[in-house]
Amino acid sequence: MLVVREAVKRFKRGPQVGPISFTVHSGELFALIGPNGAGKTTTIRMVLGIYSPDKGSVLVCGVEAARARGCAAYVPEETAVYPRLTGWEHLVFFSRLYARGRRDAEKLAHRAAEYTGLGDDLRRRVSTYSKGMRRRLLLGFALALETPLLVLDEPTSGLDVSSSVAMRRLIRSAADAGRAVLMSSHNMLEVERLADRVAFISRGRIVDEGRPSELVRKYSASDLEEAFVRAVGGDG
Amino acid sequence: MARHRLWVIAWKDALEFLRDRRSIGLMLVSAFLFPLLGLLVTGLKSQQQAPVVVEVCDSSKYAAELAALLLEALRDYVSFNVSIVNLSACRPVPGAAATIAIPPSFGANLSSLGGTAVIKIYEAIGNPAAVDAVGVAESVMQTYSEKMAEARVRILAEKAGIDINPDTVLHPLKIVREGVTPQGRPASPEEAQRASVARFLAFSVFFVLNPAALAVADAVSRERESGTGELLAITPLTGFEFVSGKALGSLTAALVAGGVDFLAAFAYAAATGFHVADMGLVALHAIETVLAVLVTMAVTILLTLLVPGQRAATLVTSLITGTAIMVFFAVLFVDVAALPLSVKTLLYLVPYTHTALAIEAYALGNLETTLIHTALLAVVTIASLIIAAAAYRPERLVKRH
Repeated sequence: MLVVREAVKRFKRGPQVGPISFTVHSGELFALIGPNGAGKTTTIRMVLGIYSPDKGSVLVCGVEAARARGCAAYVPEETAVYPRLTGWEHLVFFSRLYARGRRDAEKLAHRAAEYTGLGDDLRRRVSTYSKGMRRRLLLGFALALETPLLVLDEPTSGLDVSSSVAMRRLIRSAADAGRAVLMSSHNMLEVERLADRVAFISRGRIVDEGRPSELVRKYSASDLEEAFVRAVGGDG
Repeated sequence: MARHRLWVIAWKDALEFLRDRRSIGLMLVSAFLFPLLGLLVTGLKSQQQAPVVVEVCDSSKYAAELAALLLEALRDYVSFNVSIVNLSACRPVPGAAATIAIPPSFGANLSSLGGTAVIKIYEAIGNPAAVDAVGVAESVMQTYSEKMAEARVRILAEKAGIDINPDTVLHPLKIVREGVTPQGRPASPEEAQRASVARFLAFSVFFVLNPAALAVADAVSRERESGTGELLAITPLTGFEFVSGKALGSLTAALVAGGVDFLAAFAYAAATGFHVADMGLVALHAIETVLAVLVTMAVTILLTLLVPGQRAATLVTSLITGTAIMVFFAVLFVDVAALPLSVKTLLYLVPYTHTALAIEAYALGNLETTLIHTALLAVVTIASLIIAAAAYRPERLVKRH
């Protein structure tokens, strides 16, 4: 579903990201783990087609990421909302951008509303929402798009315990339903429990990749966090 | 290209703007700042009690007569606290905004045919009330001086045994001023007033440009800063749809700005006694305001897309509104048509020149020039939108790390 091959992104200012290679299959939950500035966001932007790689390739649904619009849905951090719109208006706005006609847009918005589980709260302005509610709004829409690839950026960062549990359940169910899921996180314990495969990313490169249990074993660590520290050699 | 996306962006931005009380409030405050400033100054002046002293150091009837005239004229203004003091020697009074001293031998000099009577005015430096008081006093003394000069001419004519009109002796040169249109036709008082109103209407456009430019710069940079830009960047949205949608959405801001400016212009006209009865001029002013705001928005969108970060966007906005104020001021005080071609060409490259000139041309009855400047403004607006759409890249909608 997602194939990243020796992708490199250079910036006028700041270090380059890559070469980076990894693959995410349908029904798989793949996590990019690394500290801030490791290159997770740049990698995600290449996958979403926002950045074009200077070298290598990023294929989504078999085509170049920049031309694969509508193949990937994205859940950014919780600030990526319009606070002056109501939750429902927010869903309608994005539905109209994706759908071909008004009727399709309405169907999409209603489906998204169901996924969010926000009920009557959708009538309220987004500015009144908690972090958890904002995430549900964003995730609900991303799930409603029913794209083959779902990309999530730090999906549980800053959430309370019950919101985190609910969010993890929804993400897992998306992968179980056959979608390819790519998520970035620096919460190692969460990833260890949730992801099928993980990649350690540090200084713009993937240091190691594998199943969480394999990586823990490989680095003779007690958990993924320790395995990460050993893999990056203190760089992270 | 699905055109409906353009309207979706416009709808969302309009909704956000109409719910943004701060931006609307800022627009209202900015537009009404000019008339409010006028009202504030008038109000404060009516409250001030600036001491003005008329010192009479001469016992002649002329000194008493002039002092009485000064007292009467200055008391017409509530902002002066006038007093007359009789002294033997004149000197400045500490704390007084102005001291008008009528020195000894004033009457003797004034009543003689060859003498010059001196009045000394002590004006407190840096005191705005002193400037006003001296202005009133000078006007009274000028009238009094003319009256005394006429009396002298009459005495001299009597002595010479000739019958003469003192006015023709005192004013051998008579200046007659008459306003004319650019075509050389005598201008009616209404036309003259319309022309002066047009200059101030042209300048008033500036007051809504700043908040409008800020609103659109904010609309673009906020998408980038909050992360919604990333969500938009992965939708099937094209550059044309994004830029046109943003511009159309911001048109709400432009219309609100135009409406507010329109009200503010009327408020100022009412406060200053101007008569803005020409609905054509008012309507044209509204159209030019909307176009000026639109072109500002198009240029702001383009530059905001090109520069990173919210601070840079604010800087861009300041640059645009700074240019606008320079042009509006220049057009107010300079005859653009009389400038050298190279300078004129440079000014014509700035869209706001056409805003000001279109309003001025209409007020002077030159419809053809009005249409040319309005059309040029519309062309620049459309060109800016096209260039901004071409500059759109999904990566320009995301916050740079």
